[in-house]
Amino acid sequence: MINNSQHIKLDEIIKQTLRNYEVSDDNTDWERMESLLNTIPKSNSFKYKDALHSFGESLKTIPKSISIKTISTPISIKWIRPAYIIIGLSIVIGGFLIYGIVHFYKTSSDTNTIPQPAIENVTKTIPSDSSIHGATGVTAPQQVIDTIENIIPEEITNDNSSDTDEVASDQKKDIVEKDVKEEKNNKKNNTDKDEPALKKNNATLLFHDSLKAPEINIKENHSGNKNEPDNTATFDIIMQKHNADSLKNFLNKIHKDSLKSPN
Amino acid sequence: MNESDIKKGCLKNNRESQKALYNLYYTKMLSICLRYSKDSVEAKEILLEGFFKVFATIKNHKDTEPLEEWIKKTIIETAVEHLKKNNHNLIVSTFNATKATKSTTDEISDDEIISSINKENVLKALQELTPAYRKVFNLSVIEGYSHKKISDMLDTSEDTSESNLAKAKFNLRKNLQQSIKKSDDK
Repeated sequence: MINNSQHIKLDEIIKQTLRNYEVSDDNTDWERMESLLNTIPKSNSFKYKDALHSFGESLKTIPKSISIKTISTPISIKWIRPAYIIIGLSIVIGGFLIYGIVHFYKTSSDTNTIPQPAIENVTKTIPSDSSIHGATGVTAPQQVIDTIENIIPEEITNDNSSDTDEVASDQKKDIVEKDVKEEKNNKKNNTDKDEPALKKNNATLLFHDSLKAPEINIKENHSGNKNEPDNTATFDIIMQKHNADSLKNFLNKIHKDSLKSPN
Repeated sequence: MNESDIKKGCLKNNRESQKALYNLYYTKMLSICLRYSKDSVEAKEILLEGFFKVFATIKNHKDTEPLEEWIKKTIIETAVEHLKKNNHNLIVSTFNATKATKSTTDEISDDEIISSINKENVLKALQELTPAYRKVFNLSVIEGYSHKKISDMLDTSEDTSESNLAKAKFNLRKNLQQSIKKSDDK
């Protein structure tokens, strides 16, 4: 009992000592507290509570502002308040919807307009080592690309002139024939072995291009000259001056030539 | 600037008012934090957390309740939360406590303790308790909370709270004995 009472006494003394304990520390360290308070993000300037409150208050004033004299039936008085509430809510919901749609399109347009990395035009210079690749293996595709590039602009530029003036086309034909002869002389020296391959590539590339092929057929209806030189270098020019039948004949001719020559 | 003006300023997030309130209750609240913490560093951490909470939630204070009492309550809640976060201390300290309980011998009587007791060695003895015991001792003996309230605050049962209080008292006495013995030896 004595021991227990002593314990209680001790507990009481400890309790009083700790309760009255006050530390003497002058360094309040307010700077640290202030820096901690500065980390709080500022609250949103738009106060939803106040806005809703004012909206509710404005709803209260609606029936007062409408004079009963102007309303003919009691049913309209009954329904005027819910109607205003519905209108108000629909404005709010509509506003949210519009905002959501605008925001959605904004974000989607942002994702669509991400600039794609520019693809560099890498041109590989393949060494012309005939022992490894052969004579025609490397050079042929480059030439094909050159001829395609030549065909497309000429088709577009000659499109209007060939349709309108036949005299002009005859003069042009003469000029073209001269050019063809010059080109023929130049290219004969360089591309004697590659001619069959070029013929095939030109033909296939032209007619596989679904966009360009119809244009060619339509444009060449007026001209009917069948006596054209059999040369791959002038293929683009030939295409401009022949109609569908002449083109068929031309292709048959090429085919026969290829059958005759083994390479 | 009186207390109501300080409170109004704090509600407007005015820095000067906040500083005034902080300086006004700094020492009192730091003393409370020292009771709940193991040292002065942890006490200051709890104090900063507590005042941060006070400034953030001062709009919840009702004028019917004294502001000092409300701040004190907020600081105590923060201290309890802070100690809850550091649960790893609980396991280590509980082991030490049980070990100490087994090897206890009453070398110094309570009368001797009472005669040589002072604020500093009582606080030190309290800080040497495990966080769980320290919390229960503070809440029960110093603040006067019931075991039901303590169990609600600490998410434990009332029995655990009572048992922890008994062990806390026992260990506190033992710590005081040791500190008095050390001072006598010097």
